[in-house]
Amino acid sequence: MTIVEFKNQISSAFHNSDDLFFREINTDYVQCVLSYLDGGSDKIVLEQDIISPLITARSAVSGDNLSDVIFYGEEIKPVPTDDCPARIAEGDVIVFFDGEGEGHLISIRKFDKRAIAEPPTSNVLKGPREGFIEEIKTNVTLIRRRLKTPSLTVKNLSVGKYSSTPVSVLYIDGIAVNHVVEEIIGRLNAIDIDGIIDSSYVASFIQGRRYCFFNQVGSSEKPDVVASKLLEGRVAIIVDGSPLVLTLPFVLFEDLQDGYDYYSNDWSSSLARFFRVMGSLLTVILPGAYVALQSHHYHLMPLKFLITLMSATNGIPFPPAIEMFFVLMLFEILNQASIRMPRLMGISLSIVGAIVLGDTAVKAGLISSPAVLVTALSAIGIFCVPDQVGALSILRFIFLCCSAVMGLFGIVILIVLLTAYLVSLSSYGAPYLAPYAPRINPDLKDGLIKSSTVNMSERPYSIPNQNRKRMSKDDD
Amino acid sequence: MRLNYNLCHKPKTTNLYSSQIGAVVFLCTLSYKLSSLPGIVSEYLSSSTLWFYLVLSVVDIVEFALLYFFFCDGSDERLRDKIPYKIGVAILFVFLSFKCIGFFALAVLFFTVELYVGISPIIIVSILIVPMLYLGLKGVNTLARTAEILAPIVLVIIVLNLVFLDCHLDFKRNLPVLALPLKDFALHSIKYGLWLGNFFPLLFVKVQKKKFPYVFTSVSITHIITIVAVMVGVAMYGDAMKILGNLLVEISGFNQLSTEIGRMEWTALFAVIVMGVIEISFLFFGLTECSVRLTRSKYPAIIVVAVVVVLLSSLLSSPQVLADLAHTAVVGGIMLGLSLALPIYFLVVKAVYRKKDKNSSLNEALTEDRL
Repeated sequence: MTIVEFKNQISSAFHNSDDLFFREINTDYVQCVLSYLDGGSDKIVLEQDIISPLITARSAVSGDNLSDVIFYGEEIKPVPTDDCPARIAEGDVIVFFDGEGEGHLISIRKFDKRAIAEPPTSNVLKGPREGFIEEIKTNVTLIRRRLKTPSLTVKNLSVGKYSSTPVSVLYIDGIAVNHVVEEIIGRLNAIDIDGIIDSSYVASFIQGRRYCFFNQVGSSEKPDVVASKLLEGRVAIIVDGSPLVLTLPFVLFEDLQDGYDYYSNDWSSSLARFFRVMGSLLTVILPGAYVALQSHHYHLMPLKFLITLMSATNGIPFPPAIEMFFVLMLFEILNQASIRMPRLMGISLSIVGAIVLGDTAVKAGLISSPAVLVTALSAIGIFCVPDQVGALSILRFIFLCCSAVMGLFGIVILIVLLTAYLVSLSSYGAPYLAPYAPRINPDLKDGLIKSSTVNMSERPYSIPNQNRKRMSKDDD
Repeated sequence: MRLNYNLCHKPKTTNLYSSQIGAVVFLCTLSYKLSSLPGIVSEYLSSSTLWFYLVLSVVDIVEFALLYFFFCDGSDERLRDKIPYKIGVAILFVFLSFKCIGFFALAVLFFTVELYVGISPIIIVSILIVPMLYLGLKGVNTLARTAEILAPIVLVIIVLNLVFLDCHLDFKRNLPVLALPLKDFALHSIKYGLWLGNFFPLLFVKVQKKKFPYVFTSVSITHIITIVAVMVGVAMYGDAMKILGNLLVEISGFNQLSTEIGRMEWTALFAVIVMGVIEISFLFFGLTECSVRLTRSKYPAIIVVAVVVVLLSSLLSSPQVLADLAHTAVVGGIMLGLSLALPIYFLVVKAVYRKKDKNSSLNEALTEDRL
């Protein structure tokens, strides 16, 4: 194939895209063309270490001896000309020599990336503050820095027909169970989609049950958390373009744990976990219980409380269920608006939300102050478990509807159904409500009441792993 | 993970941890024994109610022990194709069907008469049927794990309600031991056979033992709580106990914390509803397993449930008719007889076939030696 034919082939593959560049070198010793996309490669490296040696070469250069001429650290792989457009689209440079049948791949990708910073969704008082970024190689390195072992294995895949998104699967050989790793890789390979934009796309393909509104895949923006999960036998999935690293297998209790629990006193960690559970229960049950008590079982409330409540709700034009539904809906709308609103306008939203909508509506007698109080408590509680915000929010509405119709009976039936549903879930062999259902006593050390790290001599039984021994027991 | 929603499949035995069996036993023993039964029994047996409960507990423990031997010894894996075993399972299917209908009727009665006065039974039936079907069809693994989560909460509620009880108790009301002549006491006691045989669905599971004796602990705690609760109930109400619709709820009404944080009946209501749902789901699971063993399909069990729904919601003016039928002397006597006879029958069938298997393997070995 000639250079002209190669250029035509690549140009037609890219439909004469304007950001496709060709750099032809035509000296006595070198007749080649370099093809790359603008902005995808490191221009300085390209000019100094690739083009410059080729131009100044004093002997004939071809694909066979290219690596002897240019300054490039990796093995230069030959690429069939049909595959060259795909490689160029990924940001690589293809060097094609006149008369040869294949191109040569040089990967000097350089995309602009943000600096490593503390993730906004998982701040800690004490402990590492590094967070993942959108660049996959940096993310792998952040984990490797914490796990300096050759057993940490990385398998690279490419997912998405058009996006060809690089995906890395990380696990510690000898700890993670092989069949779990194989199943995850198998599921990733089976993904048939045009593009993967974020790791959540991948999560929806590898989760156990499709129409479940609970997280079935763990995610973290912190390398220390992912490293500790890898040490427990889990598998991490890093997707290029996403700062959220996925971890599997996943159990619900992971969302009630926090990295800070392990860097602080065990007693305070246990207390924090207890309050997280209480917060999530308040979030889900409180609005429903308020409506049930007010509509169906007001006789169960203490007399003084009932009198106060009656005086506060007297004159409200709506039944308790409709009122609560209205306040919750208002909160959800304000919440969505505050997330998407530009920061500078956030203050005005707070004023509008708190004063205009809340205070004025109460003063106008449209909603009662206890309903606002209950919604506020429920709204605060939801952020005790930030990874399950979506599920808790949906459940809050379901509980509200059930309690409006059937009172406490409806709530209890829903609790039983919800528990039954959750215990029936599993993630790659890990029961979703482990270590509580089934009760796995050794894992309770890292349960609601957290034991000292010194006592956790074994890896969790809830998570399938090959090697249970975490540390040698010191009997002294 | 793919889920199998097929209603037709081969019979299988599920492994349960002993802690899970303990949780199921706890919830299923207490549920109906401490809710509607004390009131019903007290009407006829008066001060002998406590002593009736002692006898009931002994019978219950004996029956559980017989079943325990059965499921600890490899469940029914080698018996499934044997005709005598299938006959036993067919009888068990009828037994569990009636128990399921009876308990369902009692649950509907509680909600329509005690909790939501005047509500149409069809609403209660259609709500109760959902968790029952879901848990029953999902299988005993889901059911046992659910029980494992909820049992400690229920235990704490019951214990706290007993500990914080603030009421005048006259324990002399439990005397005389025999308010009726012994013969009448025995004849009346026979009526309550419906409340026995809660653990038959355990015939279809295998136990994975843990170090801690969960099953023994659970059985002990359960029966101690039952006896204490009934003793307290009689001491509180005496002969007036016959008007109680639900003993646990009434006990929780006299909680010291009631004046501070509101009436504590809601805690007992939570416990009662949870236990009731788990119990009927467990019985329904037993029904489905019986029908799978007999017909390789869960449809017969579902038909029974459909009949329950129709009976309770349309054909009968009140579920009271079914509940009353459940504790007549004939029905109660049959249920009592079956709840004791069936475990012995299953153990005998197992022993006979084990002996036959041993003999045949011995004969085979001898024949091989001769050859």
